[in-house]
Amino acid sequence: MRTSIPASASSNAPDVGRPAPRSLSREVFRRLRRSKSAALGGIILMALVAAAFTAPLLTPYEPLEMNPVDRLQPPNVRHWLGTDVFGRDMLTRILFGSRISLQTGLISVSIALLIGVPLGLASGFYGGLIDRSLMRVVDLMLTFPGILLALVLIAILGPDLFNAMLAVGISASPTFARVVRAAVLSSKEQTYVEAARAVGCTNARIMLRHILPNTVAPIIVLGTLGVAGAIIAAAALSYLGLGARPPQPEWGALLSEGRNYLRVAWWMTTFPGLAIMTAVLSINLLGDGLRDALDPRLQS
Amino acid sequence: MKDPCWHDGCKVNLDRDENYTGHIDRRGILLMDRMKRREFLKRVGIGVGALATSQALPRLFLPGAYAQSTGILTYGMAGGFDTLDVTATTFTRVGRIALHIIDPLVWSTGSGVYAPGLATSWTVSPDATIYTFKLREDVRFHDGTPLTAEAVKVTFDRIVDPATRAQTAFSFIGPYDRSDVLDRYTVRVRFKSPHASFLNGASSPYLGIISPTAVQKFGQDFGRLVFVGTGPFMLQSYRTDAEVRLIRNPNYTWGAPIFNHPGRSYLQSIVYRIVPEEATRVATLETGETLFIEDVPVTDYQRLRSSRDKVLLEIRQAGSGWSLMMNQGRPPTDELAVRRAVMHAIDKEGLVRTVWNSVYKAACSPLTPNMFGFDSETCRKVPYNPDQARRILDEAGWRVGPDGVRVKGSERLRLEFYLQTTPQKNIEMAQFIQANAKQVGIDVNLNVLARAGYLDAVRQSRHNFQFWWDTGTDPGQMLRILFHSRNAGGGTNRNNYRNQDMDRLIEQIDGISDPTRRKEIIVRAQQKAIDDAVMVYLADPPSLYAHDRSVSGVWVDWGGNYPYFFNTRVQR
Repeated sequence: MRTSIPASASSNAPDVGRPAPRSLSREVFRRLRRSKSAALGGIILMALVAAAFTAPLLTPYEPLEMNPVDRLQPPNVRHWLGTDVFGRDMLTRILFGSRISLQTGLISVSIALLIGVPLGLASGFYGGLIDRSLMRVVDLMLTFPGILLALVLIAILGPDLFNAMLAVGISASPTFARVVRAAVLSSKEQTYVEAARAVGCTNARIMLRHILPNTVAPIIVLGTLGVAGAIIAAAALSYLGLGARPPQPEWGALLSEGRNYLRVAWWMTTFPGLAIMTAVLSINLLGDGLRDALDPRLQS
Repeated sequence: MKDPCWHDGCKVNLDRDENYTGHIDRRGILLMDRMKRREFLKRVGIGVGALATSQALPRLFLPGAYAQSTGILTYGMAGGFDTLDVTATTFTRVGRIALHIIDPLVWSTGSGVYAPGLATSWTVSPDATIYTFKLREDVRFHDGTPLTAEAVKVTFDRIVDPATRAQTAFSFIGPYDRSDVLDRYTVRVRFKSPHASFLNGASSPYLGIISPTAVQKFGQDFGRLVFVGTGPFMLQSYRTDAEVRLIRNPNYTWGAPIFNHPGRSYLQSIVYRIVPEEATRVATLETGETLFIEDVPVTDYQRLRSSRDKVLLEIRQAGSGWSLMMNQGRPPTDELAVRRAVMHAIDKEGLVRTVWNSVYKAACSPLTPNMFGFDSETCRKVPYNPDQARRILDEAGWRVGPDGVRVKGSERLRLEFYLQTTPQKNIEMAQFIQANAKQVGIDVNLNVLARAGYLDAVRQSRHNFQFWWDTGTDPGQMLRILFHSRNAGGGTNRNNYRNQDMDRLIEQIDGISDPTRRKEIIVRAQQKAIDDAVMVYLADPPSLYAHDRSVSGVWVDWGGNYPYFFNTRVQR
């Protein structure tokens, strides 16, 4: 499978190893704009975030306001995406739900970063016993499918939206640790690290000021893509009744509410499903674009 | 050794599939990223095509695909159960199956009305402590042994034997003392205290007579692998949580007179398939995979009712409908004013309309309207009136705080509502109640937990609210379950309502066999439960069954719990 890999890597190595230049972000942004799909993803995502922030301005209804007279109405002029069994406006619930779901994605990934990055950094930098023991723990965690690990954690912590975020974050953290470790391994051999050491920098300073900035690119890529995964995972947990508490309009919970009405009210599941798909797709497009943009092979 | 492709994301062509380009990123992880557009479209096309075919095919072919030979009834059951041993179980579903395998001593044809079953006649002592049954003499168990008075004695003794760990049967047999065999076909059952509702228990499948020989022979396996009674069907096989097969008892000639059917059953066999997911269960009926289903979801009610080839059976259910228990063992629901306000704040009519599609009816009392002693006055006692609820709370010192939630001193009017994740209707009802409560300034917090966590919470009295729903045909037993102080503190009375007057009323019900006086006491107990604002009675459900039009002759008991297929035929 790997026979066709060109063995030209070492010639590019100095490029990758140099300390992050100030212009990196501008360069990345320039390249990101060139990618149509990434731009599309970014625009959709920005629209979603804007909608989440301005939700109360976009709709005349309240997400929890029941109006049984209007129950189970198909999409119409007054309720663009129909109403649920209590006559709550689906559009309103999805808009307010985007606040919860996007937050869930971000917070879960932040938790994964908080756990994964220090672990990976320490593991890659110190090597030896620390590396081996930490990586065995990571291996162990990676043997479980993420959602299963999250289920176990929820069973211990109890069902709650924050616990769901925590569970998703923890179950995603080993991947981050792995990626950061790999990046650290490559940059710690670089001459600038050697130079820093020669100047007398402490380990902590070398790790945080010299190595960490050089591992940012893969973290950004994985983090962005991770948000998409976390949104799906959190929605899945809420669908199973292990995340958001009713009547919180989390997207997965909306799907779950609509599941018994599939035959009579397709809009109760279709639109939350589309919302999840749109959010995840846009984040993935953006993440793909970012990966290409941060790809050092293309650096001029 | 370093991976040669460590730093740069070198593109590789995967030899497995030309349509992908693989991509090894700087971590050395192979990423699949691009697919050619034409290939992508092709695959989308295949996917959509497959989906469409899967939807269209059943419509074209399925009506005959599951065609079954007549004489076999397939039954879609809503869930599994603990054991087939009807003496030990707690599940209504086991009773539904077992009713075909055993015969009850008597049949109940209406509230307090009984007809001969295995017993041809019976007498009850005036104080309801001694029951004498005369048995049929032509009855044999599936293992060939004859039915005698001794078998009745063994069955009842086994129920009170602690080793059996009998549950439902144990509560039905009540203050059982002993059985005396008077002659080969006469048995006298004695109770330690009056037990006016014993005939009701004897008509249920749980006190069905089982073969003493088989119990002795199979020991622990009885109920798990074998189950031997005298009924029109015999147990053929049982796979836990999947399927129970019954086969016709060829020697059955002792059908109860009420069925007017002296010979063996028309059906050759009954197959109970366990299909827990509601929508799937309905789908099995519609495709013909099953011919009869229980627990029809209300969302499919209209469709099945107006269907030309399906029949919907709707029987008002006996027992206690869906209700809200309010824990008096935990503030603030220990306060009468708060409970009374909640009673006025909940719009039951709105609830049954929204959540139950108007298939259920708004409830009034702890007993459903078809129960003996149901008091229709209770329907007028606590009308939906949010203004009154606000007034009651104002008078009790609960003032509306800045966020709309009432406060008294430093205490917020916040109630913890514990409920289970299934059925989903639970959650819908709870959301409706939450919205109702909010309107009068009560903050209700929903804790939706899996069964174990839920039971922990309510048994330890951490709840303010929880749901209850119960089936049964004996009013005394229902009221005892809900209100007797002996069931408080972790038992079934999760209102933790302790009231000596109520206890006395409940105990009286069982001691009186005179119907007029018995009814009077039952009415007083219901009114007291409302005066003390113990629970909110939300919705009275019907039992909903549906079957294919080819099925005829289904008998369901008046309480709606046990569909019986002795007289059933399947005709194509």
